[in-house]
Parts: sequence; structure tokens; C-alpha cells
Amino acid sequence: MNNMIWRIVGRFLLLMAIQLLVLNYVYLGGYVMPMLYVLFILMLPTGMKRIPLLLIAFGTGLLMDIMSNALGFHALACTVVAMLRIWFADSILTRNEPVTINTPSVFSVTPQYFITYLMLMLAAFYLVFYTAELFGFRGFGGVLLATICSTLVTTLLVVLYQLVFLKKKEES
Amino acid sequence: MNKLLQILKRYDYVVTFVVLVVLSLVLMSRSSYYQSSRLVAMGNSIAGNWYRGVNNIGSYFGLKAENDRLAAENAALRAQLAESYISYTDSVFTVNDTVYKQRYTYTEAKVLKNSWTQQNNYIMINKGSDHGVEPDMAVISPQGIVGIVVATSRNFATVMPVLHSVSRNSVKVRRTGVSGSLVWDGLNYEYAQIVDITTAYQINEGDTIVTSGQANDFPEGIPVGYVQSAEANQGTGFYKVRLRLATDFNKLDHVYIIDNRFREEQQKLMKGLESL
Repeated sequence: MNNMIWRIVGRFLLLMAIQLLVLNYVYLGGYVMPMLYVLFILMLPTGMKRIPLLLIAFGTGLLMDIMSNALGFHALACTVVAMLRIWFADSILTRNEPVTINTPSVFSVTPQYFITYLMLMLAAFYLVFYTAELFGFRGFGGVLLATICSTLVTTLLVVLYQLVFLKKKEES
Repeated sequence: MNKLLQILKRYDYVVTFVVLVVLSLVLMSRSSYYQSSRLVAMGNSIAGNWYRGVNNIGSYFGLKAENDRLAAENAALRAQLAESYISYTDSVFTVNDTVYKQRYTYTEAKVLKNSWTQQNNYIMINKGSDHGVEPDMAVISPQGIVGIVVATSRNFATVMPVLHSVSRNSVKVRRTGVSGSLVWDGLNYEYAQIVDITTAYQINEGDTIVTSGQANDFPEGIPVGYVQSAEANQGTGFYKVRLRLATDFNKLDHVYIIDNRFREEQQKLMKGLESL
């Protein structure tokens, strides 16, 4: 149990470092902003208590907000993702079976299911994030296009991340 | 009553969710008022200390290029020194010190954190209220315009660059003097747009755009960019100009904060005008 908490803390630090030291400086055209750090929320164990999950997601988002100097945007999007996770993660990841997956990833869950879950959550994240940030000056079309592009790129990054940093034995 | 409590308990996470969403929305609206928010000042110093650490490591890698840029600027400034000029006429020219009164002072600052990939970008610099930096001061780089100081903490300040959705700056075409408003469409950090510029005077590709000196405390004539394309809209009588920015926001390192010594006086005058 303790071991698991340390592993989660380690993952948080690693994802934040990648996000703040590398990805925030990558320019991929005006429509793509890779947000790998969201993966932290998506990789928390299934069956986690709901309120702590929401609070952790909000806190993670707020930290990103402080680092990017515009309060509220990441916090809102992360909170929405956590809520959607509460509603949908179980049915997609565990197929409603009474098991707990400690580290949801392409290894511990059937890859198709994990990627479906991943893309749904990321799309929701970007839709909220871009609507809050972009709607005013690029309209709905712009928000939609940015959501699609960013979701695809971030999905790719997540899969790469998991292939590099996760070992196969880390299953449930 | 009991039943109500039971329902509340069952859906306590929904209540938490709603509270957090409202909190985010409040934060979002607060940060648009920016200057006044104490939370922003606090976040400012947390992020500031973090980025100062990161920057200390990162700046070693860019030392050579940055030295070259500064050396080039030194050379340009040296060329403007009085010693670089020779007297061209025989007529007497007296320099009367009281003729000039210093209007702008410059403070050098280092960029700790810079973003250019978002739609609302911010820059954090290593000078704050302790160094006399105040909101609304103009910030330029050796190449040209950067932005406006929006918030300060004791040791740091955040700057809203041209690369921000609500950034507006008064600029003009250097050749003709026609002025317009500089905006950014959020797509590419190398290009910005000018709106509200009249078609009465022709704008050519390659024209230099400079600050007009009419607003926002930028001195007149700071380079903004070079016209890439100008489309005349016959219906509105305004050009839609796309320009390549003079400042390379991707490689920002040293900047200058400009203090307009007469700002208070100018503002007081404007206020008097508004109350008429």
C-alpha cells in the first residue's frame, strides 16, 4: 500500500517535470498543446474514493494554473475529467467486474479499452480547457479543431510514456 | 429530513464537484482583473522561485548566443553616443542641460519564464515591486516590443506579451505615420496582426511598424515588426495587416522595463478630460 503511494507520488513528480521542463516549451502550431500531466489523474487506481479523487485533480490543475499564470483553466478541466472518471472509468476499464486496477495503462488493461478511455478523457479535458480559453477569439470551430489535434497528439505521447516508463509486470 | 441527509450523503461527491467547478470559475474571472488579485501575487512568487531555479540551469546553454545579441546591441548603442558623432557645421551649438528632461528610464531584467505556445501567454521576469516595477510599465527586448507589466510581487513581475488574446497596442507605419491597433490571433508566435488601420494610405510589404507612443507607455518608435501582407477591405475602409514580429518570443532572455516618468501627470490630465 505504502509502496503504491510512493509510486503515485513519483509518477506525479515525473509527469510534472516532463510537462514543465519540456512540453510547455514545445511549439507545435497554434492548435496543439500537449498536456501529458493529465495522465496523472487518469492513472490513479480505479475504485479510489470519489472526493479525494476530485480534490487531487483540482489541486493538480491549480498547480499547472499557477505555473502558467492564468488561474482556473486547468483546475476546471481537471475537475471535469475527474468527475467523468468517476462515472465512466469503471465501466470502460474494468468492464464492471469487481476488480481494482492500481495503475491503469496499456499493459494492465486491454489496449483498445485503455485507449478508448484515454481519448474520451483527454477530449473532455481539451473541450473544457479550450472552450474556457479560446472560444472568445476563435469560435466553436477553432475550439473543436484544437481539441481534436491536441487529443491525438497527447494520446500518442501517453502511449509513448507508458511504453518507456512502465514495465509489463506492473500489472494491476 | 433523514431522507434528505441520506441523499446528500450519497451524492456528496457531486456537491464537491460543483463547489470545485464554481471555485475554478471564480479564479478564472478573478485572474482577468489580474492586478488586484493577491492570489495572483502569491502564485507569482511561487512560480517565480521555481522558474528562477530552472532558469539558472537553462541559461548556461544559451550564453553564447545571448552574449552575441547583447554585444550587437552594445555596438548599436555605442554608435549613438555623442563621441560617435563629429561636428558637421561650423555654427555654434550649445547644449543646454535644462532643455531636456528625462522622460523614460530603463531597467534591465531577465526572463525567468516565457511561454509562446498558448493563446494567453505570460512572461515572468526577475524584477518586482522592490525594484520599482509597477503594473502598466512597458517592456521591450533589444529587438523590439514585448508587452506590458500586469502584476508584480516583491521580487518578480508578470508581463502580458503581445502574444495574448486581450493584448492591444497602438502602433503606426513608420513611413506614413498612419496608426492602428496591434492584436494577435493566437496561432503563430512569429506573426501578429494590425486592425483599424485606414486604407487611405498605401501599405507595402516590408514596411516597418513601430510603436506610436500614444498609449500604454511605450516610447515612440520602438520596432514592432515588418509587414508581410496587407489586404484592403473595401467595405470597412480598413486594412487587415499581417506582420512578422521584430522580437523573437522564442528566444527572449534579457528585456528592459520602461518607466515613463510623466505617466502620472499624463493620466491625471486624461482623467480631467473624462470628467468633463
